[in-house]
Amino acid sequence: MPEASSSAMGKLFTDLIGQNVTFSEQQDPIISSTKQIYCTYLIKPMDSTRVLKADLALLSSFAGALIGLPLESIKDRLAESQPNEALRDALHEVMNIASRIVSIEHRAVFKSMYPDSISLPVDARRTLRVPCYSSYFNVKIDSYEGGAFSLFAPF
Amino acid sequence: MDLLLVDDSKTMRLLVQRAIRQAGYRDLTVWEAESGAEAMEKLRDKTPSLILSDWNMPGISGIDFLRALREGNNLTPFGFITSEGTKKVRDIAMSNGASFIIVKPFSVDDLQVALDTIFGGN
Repeated sequence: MPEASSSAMGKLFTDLIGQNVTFSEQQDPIISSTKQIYCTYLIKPMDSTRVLKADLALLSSFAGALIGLPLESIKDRLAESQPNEALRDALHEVMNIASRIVSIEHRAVFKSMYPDSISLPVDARRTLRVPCYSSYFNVKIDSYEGGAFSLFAPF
Repeated sequence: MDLLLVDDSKTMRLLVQRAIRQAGYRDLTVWEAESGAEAMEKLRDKTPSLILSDWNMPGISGIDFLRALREGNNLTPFGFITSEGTKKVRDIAMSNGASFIIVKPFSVDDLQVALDTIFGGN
């Protein structure tokens, strides 16, 4: 599953949000106790599904930094009972742009974002449960909260 | 000078608007549409100097929007701002009459170079 290298991933997000972002690949799955977000990408022309799983705090940092929110403001908005529209829209855009690093050999199209694995479509749940290939990264962002970022592919 | 910006993401419209100003085009009037359908509506009474559009949008995609314009003999210069950066996508865009394609994430310089090709520098 050739996805982008750690350095290419870091550069993409650094260029996107204007803060230094580093991706460090890990050998084993990352056990994270914080809330996760799941995103599906359609890989063309095979129409297979790849899944991105990441800490909500990490993706919110990307989204918040993109629209110029400081970390404390992002945390406040995440604590609100209703999802914050500006943050959610920015999160959607970040995931759309992340399609560039989900696959480097084929075209990846961002499809949807899910708040838990139960809500994923059947094929995506299967990919997440028994991936043919997976990769795990610890992500750090200057001045913002980092976290876990993982990719899963069916082949 | 005016420009029609078509993107379903409010965030991206905000970022592009900001980048346009930073690129020196402070006097450029920017109309916004959040879909290809809304853009077609706006084009009934507006003739912008440039259309900047996303590629992946709900409903009419960016490339279908461009094709519909050209089929209707609307030759307004058209550029894409998209996360779709593959050669195939570029080839499709250019063969359908796009003037340029800017890949996200883009810099102010990327946008300025593209705008200068249309507006001849500011």
